[in-house]
Amino acid sequence: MSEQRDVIALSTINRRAFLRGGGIGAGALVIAASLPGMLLPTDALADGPPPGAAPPPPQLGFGAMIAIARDGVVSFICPSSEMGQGTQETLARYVGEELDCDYARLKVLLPWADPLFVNPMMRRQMTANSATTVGYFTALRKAAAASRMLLVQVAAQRLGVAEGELTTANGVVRHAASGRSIGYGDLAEAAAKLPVPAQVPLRPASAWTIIGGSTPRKDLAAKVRGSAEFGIDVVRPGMLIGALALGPHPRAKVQATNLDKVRTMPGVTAIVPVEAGYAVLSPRFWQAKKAAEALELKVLSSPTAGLDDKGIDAAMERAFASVPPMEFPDFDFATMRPKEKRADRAAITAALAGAAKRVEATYDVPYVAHATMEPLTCSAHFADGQLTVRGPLQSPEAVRTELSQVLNIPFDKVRVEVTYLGGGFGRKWGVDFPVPAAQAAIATPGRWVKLIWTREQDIAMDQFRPAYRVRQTAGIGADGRLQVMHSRIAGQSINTYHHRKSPPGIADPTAAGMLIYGCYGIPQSLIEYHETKDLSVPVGFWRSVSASQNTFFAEAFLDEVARAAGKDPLAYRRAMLAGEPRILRVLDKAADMIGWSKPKPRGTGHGIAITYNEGHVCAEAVRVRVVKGKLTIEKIVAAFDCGPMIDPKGVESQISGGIVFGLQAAIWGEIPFAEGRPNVANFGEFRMPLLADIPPIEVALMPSGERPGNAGEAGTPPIAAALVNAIADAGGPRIRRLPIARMLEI
Amino acid sequence: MAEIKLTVNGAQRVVDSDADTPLLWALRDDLGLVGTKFGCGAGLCGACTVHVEGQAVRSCQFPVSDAAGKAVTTIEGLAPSADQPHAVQAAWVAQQVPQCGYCQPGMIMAVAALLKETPHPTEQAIREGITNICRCGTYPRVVAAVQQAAKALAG
Ligand code: FES
Ligand code: FES
Repeated sequence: MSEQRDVIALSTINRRAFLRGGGIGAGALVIAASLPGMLLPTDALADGPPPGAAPPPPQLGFGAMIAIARDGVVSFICPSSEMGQGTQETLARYVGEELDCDYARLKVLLPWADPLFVNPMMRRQMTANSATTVGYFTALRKAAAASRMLLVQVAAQRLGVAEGELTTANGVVRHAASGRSIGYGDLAEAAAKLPVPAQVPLRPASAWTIIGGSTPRKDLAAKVRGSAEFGIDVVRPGMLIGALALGPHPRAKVQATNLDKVRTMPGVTAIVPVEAGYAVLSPRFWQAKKAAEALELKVLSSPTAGLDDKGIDAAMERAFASVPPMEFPDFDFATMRPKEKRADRAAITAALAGAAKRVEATYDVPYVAHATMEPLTCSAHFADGQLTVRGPLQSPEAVRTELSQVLNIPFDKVRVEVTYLGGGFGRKWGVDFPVPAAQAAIATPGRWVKLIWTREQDIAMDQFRPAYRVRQTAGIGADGRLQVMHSRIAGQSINTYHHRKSPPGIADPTAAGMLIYGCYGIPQSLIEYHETKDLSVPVGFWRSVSASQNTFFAEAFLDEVARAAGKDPLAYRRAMLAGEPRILRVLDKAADMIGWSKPKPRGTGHGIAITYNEGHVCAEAVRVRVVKGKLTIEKIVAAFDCGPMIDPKGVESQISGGIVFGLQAAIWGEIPFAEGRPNVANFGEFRMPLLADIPPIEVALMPSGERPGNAGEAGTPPIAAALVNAIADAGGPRIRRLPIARMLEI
Repeated sequence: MAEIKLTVNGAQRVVDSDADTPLLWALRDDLGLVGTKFGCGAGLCGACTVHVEGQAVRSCQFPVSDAAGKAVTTIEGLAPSADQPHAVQAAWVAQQVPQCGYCQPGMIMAVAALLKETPHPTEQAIREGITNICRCGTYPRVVAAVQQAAKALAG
């Protein structure tokens, strides 16, 4: 983050709203931290805290998200969505580190869509791309530090001493020389009336005590008691619960042929046409579900009518043959266009033709589902022109915009509140599922409505990680070095499906990004994308997005290249990473952990793979046994660097959890299509690993002095490549098509 | 619709539901106990695990009528009070098992029942006995947490 962006502006704003519902007496000022890059409307907090969230006690506010009550309890509205990645703990630590409050008593509240909560880096309020930890890093610490400075100023006046003689800890300002002290609760009101300091110094990493510590996450207590409110747990008096009857595709048009009959079924309050089907509403889900299942639907149109796996295969081939490719240039993501390097096509063709050895292979991945443990669900209420939506949302701001546009309700009449998310992984970034909840609520004004998708519907209505096919060609020089690489990828564009524009003049990065790793410094390389424009399967962001498939393609193929060159795959990578000490350190660690250089018995194999971006480096290595077509995974290790680690225990769980997530996709994950729809029902077909399936997983955290990065997505990408590389090393087949269970017994 | 009487977390409750209503939905929609989660509705994931007469059952597959006259314990009733967590809940926090947390009430109920039956399970018994799905992949911490809870329960 540049110095410029680090500058925080603090300004007084209209406090009316933070206070409304908070019960703060008139006359108190709220000081809001204007986070860098953020728009600050004068009435920014006009929405007030959501009714379902624990209402903050009478308090004074510091910053948009930090409030100090008269009893000294600090409340922090965590602006990003907690979906298991530990964002509440991470951001609370930023506050705790600089505020010197009683951290154990710091309360974290759930957010709502509000410009004040915008991620300073993303410039939007959304939880995706692992951008939370880095995005709020400076701004939140500055808001907390500024608050502490003001509290100290007031204490200095009251005690009649210099600020420099005062210290802060555990929510108390202390004057050591006289033994006197004042609690934050007694200082907050006066502090809020002071002008905000122009300079807000931050503590150096060496002085951190909360950041980097190992206290259990704040959200765990409620989660083990069953009291954390997930989207599916929203309960309101008189609430109607809706089950859905849906067509084969989220954009299908259907018509019910027996509405009148189903309307008379027990418990049915209303049947409402919604996107792609009907919502059957009842006070009880079970009755709603029975009625929804009794609805007979005629499919009028569906974007995937008649589609099956053969059709998908044919569409890939058609794209390679007849859709002109878009180039994905090598560029620096930090600066985007300015450093973009276009491939020299003539040189690539010549280099491939003149290579001492050529390696060619075709790789495939199928569609895969998110299958968050909490199925899709959303609640809504509509009365007097005001729509309120409450649910497990990764992107509350985009949901607010979508609802306003699709349902033609003024933006300021749409309120969007966020619950805990029972898993997100990109699925709950979608803006699709709040729409039918809102439609059902509009049809039953004055009553809260909660829609719940069944597991089968959650899978069928997913926005899948797209299927891709890749053709890769590598040219090896006489010295065995990799000289040239040309990779072509075919599959759907996520941007196209969502009617979003890709950056002009280049391929959709969500398909083609990092198909060839820049870190290896291959002298000539070219990535091309052939979009399968005639496929309309619903697709979306799936944990780690393009890295999830392209790491498999890039790192498995590189293994093949190394072997073709007669080189050890680890040594081959190391030789190309001489200028990348950060990656090399992590790679070496993973190799060491798996015992790469130690002799191993016949039938045992080692595989390794890496992933990296501007915020992290992750290397994973696997030891497997392959005997008579049966695969046993003996051990998985990971080495990980994401800069300074705010919550190391949390980081470790993100990496090991990410590995399990990637393992599912590598071994079993597949959404086949038949007769125009996904041909899986439940976890029986879209199989999940269980405890007994999980080999020992060891994670080595390797913090570094870089700026904080991200961890939520890093564990997932390398595992598939590491696994297929290990299988080949063990004497098993070279697997180029996932899932592995198609080829080997597990 | 029929009136069904059962004991939930120590209290007498009456549910007025279709007899085939799964216990899961009776708990959630009739009794407002939403700590028990819906994950698959097919007996595959264990998110809905509760105790009926001390036995772990997957409540999405258990008709509420079969619970008539029986004692049901849900995640809300596992611990005597919020500041006195059950040993499994305490171990779960200490080992920092939950991520999103959605599968955890069911997993915790399954573990509590396992430890009642087998107070000192071997690692293999844990790995085979706990068949709940966790999409966040919290598995690597589960075995240690179960062992810690077993120790605490043994006193
Ligand atoms: S919801 Fe009952 S087992 Fe999945
Ligand atoms: S903690 Fe998220 S599903 Fe288990």
